[in-house]
Amino acid sequence: MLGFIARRILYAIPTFFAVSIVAFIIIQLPPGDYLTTLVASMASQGETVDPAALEALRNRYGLGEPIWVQYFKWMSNIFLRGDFGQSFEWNQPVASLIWNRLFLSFMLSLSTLLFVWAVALPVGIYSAVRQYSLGDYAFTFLGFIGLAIPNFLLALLLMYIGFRFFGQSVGGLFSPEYQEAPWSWAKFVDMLSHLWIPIVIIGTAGTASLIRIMRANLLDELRKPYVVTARAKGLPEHQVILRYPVRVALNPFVSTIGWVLPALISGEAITAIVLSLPTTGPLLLRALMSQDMYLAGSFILMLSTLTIIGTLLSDVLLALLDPRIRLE
Amino acid sequence: MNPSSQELLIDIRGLKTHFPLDEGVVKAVDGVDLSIHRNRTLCVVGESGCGKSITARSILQIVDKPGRIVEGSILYYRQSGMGNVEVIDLAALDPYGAAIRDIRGKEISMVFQEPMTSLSPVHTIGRQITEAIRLHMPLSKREAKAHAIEMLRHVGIPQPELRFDDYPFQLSGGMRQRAMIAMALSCNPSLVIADEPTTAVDVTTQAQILELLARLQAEHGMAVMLITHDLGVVAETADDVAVMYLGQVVEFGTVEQIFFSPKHPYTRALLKSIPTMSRRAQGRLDSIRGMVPDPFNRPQGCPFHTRCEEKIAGVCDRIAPPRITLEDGRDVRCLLYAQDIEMTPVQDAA
Repeated sequence: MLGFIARRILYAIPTFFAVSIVAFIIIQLPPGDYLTTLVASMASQGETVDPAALEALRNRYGLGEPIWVQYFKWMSNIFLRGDFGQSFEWNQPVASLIWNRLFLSFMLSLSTLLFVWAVALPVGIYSAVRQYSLGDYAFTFLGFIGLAIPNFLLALLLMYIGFRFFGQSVGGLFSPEYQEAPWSWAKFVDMLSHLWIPIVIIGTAGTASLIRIMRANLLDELRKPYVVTARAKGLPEHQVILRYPVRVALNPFVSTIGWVLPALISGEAITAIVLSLPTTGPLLLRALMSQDMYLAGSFILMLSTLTIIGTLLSDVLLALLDPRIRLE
Repeated sequence: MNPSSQELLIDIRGLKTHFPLDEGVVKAVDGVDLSIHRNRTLCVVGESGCGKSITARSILQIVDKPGRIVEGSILYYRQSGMGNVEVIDLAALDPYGAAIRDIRGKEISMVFQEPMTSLSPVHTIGRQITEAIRLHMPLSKREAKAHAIEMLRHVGIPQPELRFDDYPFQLSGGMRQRAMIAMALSCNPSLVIADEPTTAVDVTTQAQILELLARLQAEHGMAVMLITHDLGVVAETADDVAVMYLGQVVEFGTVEQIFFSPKHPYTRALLKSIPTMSRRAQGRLDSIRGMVPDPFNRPQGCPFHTRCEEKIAGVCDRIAPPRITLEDGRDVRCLLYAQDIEMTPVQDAA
C-alpha cells in the first residue's frame, strides 16, 4: 500500500511539470502580450504611450526574453521564494491576490462536493434498488432537468427566489456588513447562510450525473452472483445491498473526485460571475482577457495542481476501497 | 422410495415458480415434486434451463426478481430437539422476512456455481465466512475467526491462518470453491444445496471437490442436494436422483432405479446420450432429437411429447401426465405408466 502511494506521488511530479509547461505555453499563445493589450486600451481612450516607457516596462517585466527563460524564472521564483510573480493589471503580487479567493473557492468546492455526495449516494441507491418505480422516474426526471439547465440560468432563478421570497441579500458570499470585516464566528455563520445558493447551483449538474453513474453501476452490481450469496447467508436485505453491491459500486464514485474537484473550481466561474462571488472564477476570466500573464498562469497552475492532487486522492481512495487495485 | 418417512427433510409438492416478463410468463418451475432425506444425496439432473437452479433457489426463497413462487409447498421438517419435528412451509414464508433468513445459511446453505463471481471481490474470504458465522451463532469476533479458520482447514485449505486474509482473486479456482464450501458448512446446516459446484473448475479439481463434499456429508450427517448436468457425477455421488425436464421432475428414484431401469423416455434418452468407453469410436453418439421448446410456448399435454420416441399420438399431446408412483416406489410423470387415465386416442374428425 505504501509502495503504491509512493509510486503514485512519483508519477504526479512529472505530470505537474508537464502541466505547468502546457499552462505557460497556452497563456503565451494569443498574439501580443500584456503591453499590447495596455497600448490598445489606452489608444482606444485616445492616449498614446511613449515607446521608451513601453520598452522600460518590457524590460522590467522580462517580456522581451525568450519564452523558456520566462518560464524558468517563473517556476524558480515559485519554488524558491513562493513568489508567483506580479499581476500587471492589479500591480500587486499574485500571491496576495489569489490566496484569499482560492481559499473561498476551495471552501465552496468542498462543500459542494459534500453536498453532491450526500444527495447522489442515497438517491442513486434508491433509484437502482427500486428501478422503474415512481420515485426512480421522478429522480430521473429531476436529474435530467438538473443536467440540462445551464448554471447561470439556475443562478438567476435562485437569486430571484432568494430575494423575492426570503428577502435575503443575494449575490456574494457575505452580507454587506461582513464584507470587509475580519473573520469571526458571526461572519462564518453569515457565509454559511449565503453558501447554499452557489452550492445548489454548482452542485446540481454534478449531483445529477453522479446519480446516473451510481444508479447504472449499482444496477450492474445488483445482478452479480455474490449478491445472491450474501442473501443466501441470511443477511437482512438492506445489509445485503449496503455491504456488497453498494460497496463495489462505490469505485467509480470515488474515482470521480479526480475530475469533480477541478470541475467544481472552474465550473463555478460563470456562476460566480452571475452571483458576484469573491472566488477565483471571475478573477481568472479577467486575467485571461487582459493577458495578465502571471496571474492567469498562477491560477491555471493552481487548478492543474488541484486536478493532480484530486487524481492522486482518488487513486489512493480507490486502492483503499478495492484490494484488486492495491494488490494488483 | 421412502427409506423412512422420519428421515424426510424437504418435501416439495407441486412447486411452481414463474417469471412474469413483458414477453410473457416464463414457467421456469412448473409443478416440481421431489423430496430430500436426511443424510442422503439427491442429484438433480436435466438440460440447461430445465429449472434445476430455480427449484434450488425456491427452497431458500432467493429467486431473482421478477421470479416468484406462485403455487405449491416446500415443507421443511425441522428438527427442534428432543426428537420433535416441526414442519415449516418455506414457500409460504416472506422472502424478506426474519423466519426464512434464520434458515438461510444456518439450516440450509448453498454452494454456488462460480466461486469467483459468487464471492465478493472486495472482501477477504475470512470476512465473508465470519459474517455468516456471526449472523447465526452467538460467537465473539475472535471465536468466529477461530471457527472460520477451523472450517478452512476442514475443507483442506493449506495454511488457513494466512488464507483467512486473502481475497478471492488471490486463490485458485479450487481453493475458492473450498472456501465457499467452508462458508456453507460453517453453521453446520442440515441441508447443503450445491448448484453445479464443479462447472467452473477443471476435472482434477472437480473430483477433489466432489470427494470433499462426500467426506463432509459423511462427517456432518447432512443432506446434500447436488445440481448437475453431468451424469457421471450423478452415478458417483447420488443416493437419489431427480430428472428434470422443462420445469418438472419427470422421474424421481434411487440412483440404481434411474441408471439400471430408467422408466421415463427422457431419462432413457439422456442415459443413451452419454459416451461410453466400451462403445469404441464406432457409430454416432445418440442424442435426443429436437430442441428444448421455447419457454414462452410450452407444448400442450406432456412437455416432452415433441421429442419423445414413444409418444402415444392423440394422448401425450393432450393430457398432461400426473405424478405416478410405481410399485418400486419411484415417481414418474409419463402416460405410458398410467393405468386409470382415459387412454383412448382422440381421433381427429378428418
